[in-house]
Amino acid sequence: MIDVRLKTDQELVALSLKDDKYFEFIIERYEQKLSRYVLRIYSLCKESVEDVLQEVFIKLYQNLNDFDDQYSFSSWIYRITHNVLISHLRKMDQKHVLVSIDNDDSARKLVDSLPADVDLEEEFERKDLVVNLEKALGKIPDKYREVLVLYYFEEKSYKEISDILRRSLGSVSVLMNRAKAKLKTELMSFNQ
Amino acid sequence: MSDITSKILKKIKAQEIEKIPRWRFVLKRVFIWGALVVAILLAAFAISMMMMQMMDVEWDLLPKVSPMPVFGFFKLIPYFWLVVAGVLFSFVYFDFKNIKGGYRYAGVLIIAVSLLISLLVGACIYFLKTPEYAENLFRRVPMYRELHMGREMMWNAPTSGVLAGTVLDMDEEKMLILRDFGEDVWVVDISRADVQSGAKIMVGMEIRVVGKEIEPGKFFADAIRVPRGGPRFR
Repeated sequence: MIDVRLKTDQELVALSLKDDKYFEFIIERYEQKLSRYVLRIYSLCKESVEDVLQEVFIKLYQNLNDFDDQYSFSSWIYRITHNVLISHLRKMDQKHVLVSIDNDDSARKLVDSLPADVDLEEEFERKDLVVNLEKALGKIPDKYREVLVLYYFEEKSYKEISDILRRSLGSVSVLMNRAKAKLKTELMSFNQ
Repeated sequence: MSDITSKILKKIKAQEIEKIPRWRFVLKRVFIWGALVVAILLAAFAISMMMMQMMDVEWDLLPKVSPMPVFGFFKLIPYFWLVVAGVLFSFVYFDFKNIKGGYRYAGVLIIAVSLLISLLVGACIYFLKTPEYAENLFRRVPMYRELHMGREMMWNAPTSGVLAGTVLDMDEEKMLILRDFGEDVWVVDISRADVQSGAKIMVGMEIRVVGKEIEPGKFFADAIRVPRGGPRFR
């Protein structure tokens, strides 16, 4: 019996292409990660998150033959999720969205990285920091929120973000700087 | 097995969702690459046409026919082929972004490399004289011919000593009848004219004549130049 927990993503894809029963293990490996990612980008209700995940995994299943093992499977599945999410966000058409931050350490890391004249972390109470960050992230455009979430919360490298967002490394870097500046402006406005 | 996993697997089974076969992805990639190659070749052709049209400009006569040579130069820019090349390079840019890993390259780099390839291929096409034959064919299309006439009108300034038009008739290389691009008919004395590169002047050819207007309808030619791409004979 094959121990699928020891298999790499690439090996699981290869096995799933031969036998559908292995696809189940891909879903189980990524279900929680993608669910958190979706909620960090857009705080949807449980049913909507399920809908998004269903669409993501069905698209993944249909396109398994398109997977190129020269690329990271993780970036690929995040890319599919990004596309599905974008079409969901377009349908919802809301100016301010709710974002769910579930990791205080990542939140502090993000706030520390912002170019600010004042120590933002000191400006907010520990509890307020996460609440204000959620509000600020919800106010900035989707493209900026996503790049920050991918880097600070999903812990993706610039190269992986480049593969997920289909942008050059230079463009990711520009997007990141702009996203930080936008986020800082929003955070400072709460403090005034 | 989690709840969502079981729902997804059930949905795949119930709706008989299938994996898209590999050959369809391969075909899509071949199509995207093929379109890229075709677009670059067409852009190279457009560049070769621009090369021919710009090499065909009588730079030494420009100050004669245009008091402000800069404005004259702007009239001579091959806008049609410039637009065609622009559209093709835009296509190349977006098509390349759809190639696997294409997004990793900066837009400036994609345009610069495709421009360089097109310039090299375009230069080869130019030296093979393909643009001259193509120009001859394109001029049969009324809209293209109008654009061509607009450019050629630049060289039709008899009072400034330059005449451009089509040869209607010839008399033993001493005299020819020419209808200029303003539809006026001229008798041109070519007895002492230098013909560019020893080209043989024939009825139906488009030529440019340098000399002076003797009287209305009569012109004395010092030199005859044969623009490329025009009909060589009829």
